[in-house]
Amino acid sequence: MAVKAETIEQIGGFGNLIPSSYKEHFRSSGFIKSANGLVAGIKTSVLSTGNPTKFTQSEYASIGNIFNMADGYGRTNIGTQSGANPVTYVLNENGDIYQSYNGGNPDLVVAIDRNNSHFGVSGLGGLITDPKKRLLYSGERYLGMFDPSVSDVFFTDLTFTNGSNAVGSSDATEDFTADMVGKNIRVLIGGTYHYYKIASYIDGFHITISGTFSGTTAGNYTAFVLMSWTNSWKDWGTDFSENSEGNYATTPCETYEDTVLFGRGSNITSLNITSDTITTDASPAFNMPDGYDCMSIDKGSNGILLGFNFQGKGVLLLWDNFSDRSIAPWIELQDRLVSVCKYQGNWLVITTTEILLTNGYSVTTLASNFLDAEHTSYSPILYSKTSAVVGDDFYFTIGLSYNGKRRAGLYCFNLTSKLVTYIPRTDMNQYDNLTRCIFYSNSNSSGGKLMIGSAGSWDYVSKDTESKVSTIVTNPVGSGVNRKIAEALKVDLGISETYYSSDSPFSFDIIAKVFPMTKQKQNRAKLKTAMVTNYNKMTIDETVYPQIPVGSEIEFLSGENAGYTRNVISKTGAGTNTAVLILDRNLPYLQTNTTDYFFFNPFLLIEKKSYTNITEIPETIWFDIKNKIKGKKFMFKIEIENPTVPIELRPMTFIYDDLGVI
Amino acid sequence: MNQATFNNKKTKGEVEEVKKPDNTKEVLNSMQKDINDKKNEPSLNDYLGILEVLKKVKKHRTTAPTNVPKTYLDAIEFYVSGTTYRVYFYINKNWKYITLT
Repeated sequence: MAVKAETIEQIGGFGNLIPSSYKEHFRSSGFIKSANGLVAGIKTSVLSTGNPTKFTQSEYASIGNIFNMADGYGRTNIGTQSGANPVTYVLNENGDIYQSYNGGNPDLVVAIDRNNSHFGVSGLGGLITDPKKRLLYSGERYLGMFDPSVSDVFFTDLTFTNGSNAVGSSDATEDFTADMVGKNIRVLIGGTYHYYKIASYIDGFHITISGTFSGTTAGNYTAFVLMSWTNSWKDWGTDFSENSEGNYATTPCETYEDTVLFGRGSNITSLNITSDTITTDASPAFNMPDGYDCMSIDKGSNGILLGFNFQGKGVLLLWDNFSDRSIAPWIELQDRLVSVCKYQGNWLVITTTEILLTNGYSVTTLASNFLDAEHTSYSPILYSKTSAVVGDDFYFTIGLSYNGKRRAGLYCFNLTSKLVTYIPRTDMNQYDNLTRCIFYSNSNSSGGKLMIGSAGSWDYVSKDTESKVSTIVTNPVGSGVNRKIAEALKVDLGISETYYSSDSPFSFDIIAKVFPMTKQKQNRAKLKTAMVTNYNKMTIDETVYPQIPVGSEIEFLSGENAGYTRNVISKTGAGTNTAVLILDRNLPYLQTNTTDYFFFNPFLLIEKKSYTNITEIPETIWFDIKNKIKGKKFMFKIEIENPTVPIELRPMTFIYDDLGVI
Repeated sequence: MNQATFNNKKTKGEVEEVKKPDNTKEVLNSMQKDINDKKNEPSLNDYLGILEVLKKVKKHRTTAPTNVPKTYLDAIEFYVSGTTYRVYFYINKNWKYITLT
């Protein structure tokens, strides 16, 4: 028997199964690469979930399901009539457009599709800013346009009547004009903003709105008629309501010289911004045969790369905004095209199994079967912008499941190491696929920001911001095929050298677990009933779900305790419909969600160590594995829980007794 | 095994250190080469589009060109409108033409 100390240097990332790269670990969450290892210091933060105190109409209470973003120019705030300042726009599923000025809390600036069908039921509109600073929003049939150089009309004397659609102007000046029909009117009611659509013009003193006014009848309301927004500015000629597979009609957009291009199924239509003329669906700038669905339009050094899906397979082709055919042979992809992203004049391409790099003529595979795609390919997300490059990092989202490495959310693929890191949400929900689109915004005066459009929130990636729990699971360690006894794990920690804050005591918990790789790594079950009173007691129906052995790790992927794990220390009622599990320590919250799965894993708890109000990281953190766990290969799991500073994880050491060939 | 026991064994030379050879640099250089090749070194593939065009008869257009050409081939355009036949050339940032008989 010989004691061996094996260094674990799996601190590069994960997800690509590179055989020769031993710096790859199995999976992690919330860790990003640092000078000495990995830092538990990245997550998405919420910019806004809407502003129900400012927009009290119930339909505007939430920011909704965001599926498109663009930088552009707009007002500094919604209380001004004019201005063309750098802002970021988002478009949600309801046809509402929000803007954030200088990274601030976003405002709903226009409600296009309320009482209107600009985007249609299943239309995911295009959103782009043209070189004239105009925001273009392409809908089911019409191209809408916001021109920041046009001032909105401001009123202080409008009469609204509760329950009525009639609106009057009470002063002696004729204020209303016929061209206000179809425009949004934003009314300030008791400090909150309400949106209505102008339905008809009666005369200079009277209009009607769609629907009826809800508020106190009065004659001195402040309001803006949003003349700068024109929904039906250009007519593409036909309704583009769904793609050839009956799914959402996504509309990718791109600017190219003096042209703005719009993907509408098999057609590429265009707007010339010099003449403000368009090519229509009937006579498009470029078209493909029926059945091709445009997924992407992106300019680069060699021209414009158009991405289509046809019968479940992707195709890329290069175009010059002039020719009636592609200017290079088509690149046929083996799988469905998911996303295309510009990268230094070339393009990064994501399919349902691969990450590719292309210059429009040829393709290089950067990652094949990443994130366990060799088992099951990914389901595509049907939105226009699901990837973005920042420096050497390629951020993306894809149709992920909760299995293995593939938690729902945002991933970052490093173009040098070709390994990924996983960026958890603030609420640590890794189960529900809530990420809709990704956009690298530069409208903020303080620098670029990676913005995330989610279901119900507008988020951004924050680095040097620790999440509630950061996790790393190693790939199997333990050299050779001999049987071994796991004896100890030595962990070295530090604090991110880029972290700056007022120097103060800090706290964190570190939990180490081991799995001897002798059984299935994970399974899943649901709570039978919501947890009540006891924060360490769970009731499971084990006649429906597999029996959970004592010692197992319980891992919540959603709900109140998402991200947290605990281990089962005892159990009653095994195999019955009321099996009760007792956990090693309390969960932070009583888990009430009984519809989502939680994982149970065979990671055995070695020890949890708590460090509270310390001013220095301990020199060595030693985990003594006391149970003489035997195996040939072992996987370790380290969790940094509730840190108050970004903790850096450095290479670890696994100490074991090598039992020789037995 | 606690830390004191381990340290004791290590002092006595009873601990064998296991460390895999560090081939990270070679791996990263190999992987980065793919990207550098694509970014810096044009291959024959990069010219396939132009070669494809040379294999075909150039199609005429019915409107005068206004675009800024990207390649040598783009700088020559054939124009037909009714009985008017022209060849356009992009010269010194302007499109100029000659009429054909």
